[in-house]
Amino acid sequence: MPLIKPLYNFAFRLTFDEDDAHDLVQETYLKAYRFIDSYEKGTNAKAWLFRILKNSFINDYRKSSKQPGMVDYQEVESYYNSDEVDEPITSDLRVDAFKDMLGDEVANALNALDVDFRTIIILCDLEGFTYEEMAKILDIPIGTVRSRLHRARQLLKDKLREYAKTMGFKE
Amino acid sequence: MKSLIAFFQKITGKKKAYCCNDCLCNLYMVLDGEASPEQQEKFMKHIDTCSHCFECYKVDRSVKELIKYKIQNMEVPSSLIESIKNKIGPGKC
Ligand SMILES: [Zn+2]
Repeated sequence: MPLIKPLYNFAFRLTFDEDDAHDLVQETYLKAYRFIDSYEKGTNAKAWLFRILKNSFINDYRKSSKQPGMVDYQEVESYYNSDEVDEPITSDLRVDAFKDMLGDEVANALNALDVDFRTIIILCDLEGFTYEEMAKILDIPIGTVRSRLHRARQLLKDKLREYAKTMGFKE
Repeated sequence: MKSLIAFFQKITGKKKAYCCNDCLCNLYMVLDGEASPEQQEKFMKHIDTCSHCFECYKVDRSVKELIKYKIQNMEVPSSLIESIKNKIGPGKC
């Protein structure tokens, strides 16, 4: 089961709970086994499994517990498309400030993001999926993948900037 | 275009993260390996002369690397693998 490691990590980063991650991955494998016919040969099997896991998460976990984590995409997209975007200035974040940052601190910054933003960063930067694969996994158009990724990265940089500050780095 | 943005910044006191929207899109496309060779070349040429976009590129690249290399993977519990194997049946996964 070579894909179980990324799947388990994805599940854990969605739920922050080892038992929930366990159940989510197990369910993913059982569903994949049951619906193996829906897998298109030649496509990315990892992306297919990630999509099943993501859908299970939305159906079984998110509905019940994490409503406040929902993001209003209408708002996000109009933000992105607006000419009057007041973006955090990227270049005030110094690259030097990252060098000594620990894995835990990076993980904390990532974990502090809303689940949809966290997810897109995991899929893109941690797992290396293409935009097209992410669009399939998340059932959203590629344009939305791009705008969500854009927003997620801005938010992540904000979090990293906060951490860098508390660590005493100058901006 | 550039002077228009500068003017916009002046009157609003706001600063844009990139010199233009085109750069911003291309930056992520380049970073994520989604840019065409032409887009890639155009962007790389641009950051040769635009220090602002060059800085942005360095920052975004190192954030991506932070996520990729610093976040540690969790160990998959062996009980999970066992339990899946038991449910699906041996030799089937
Ligand atoms: Zn530029």
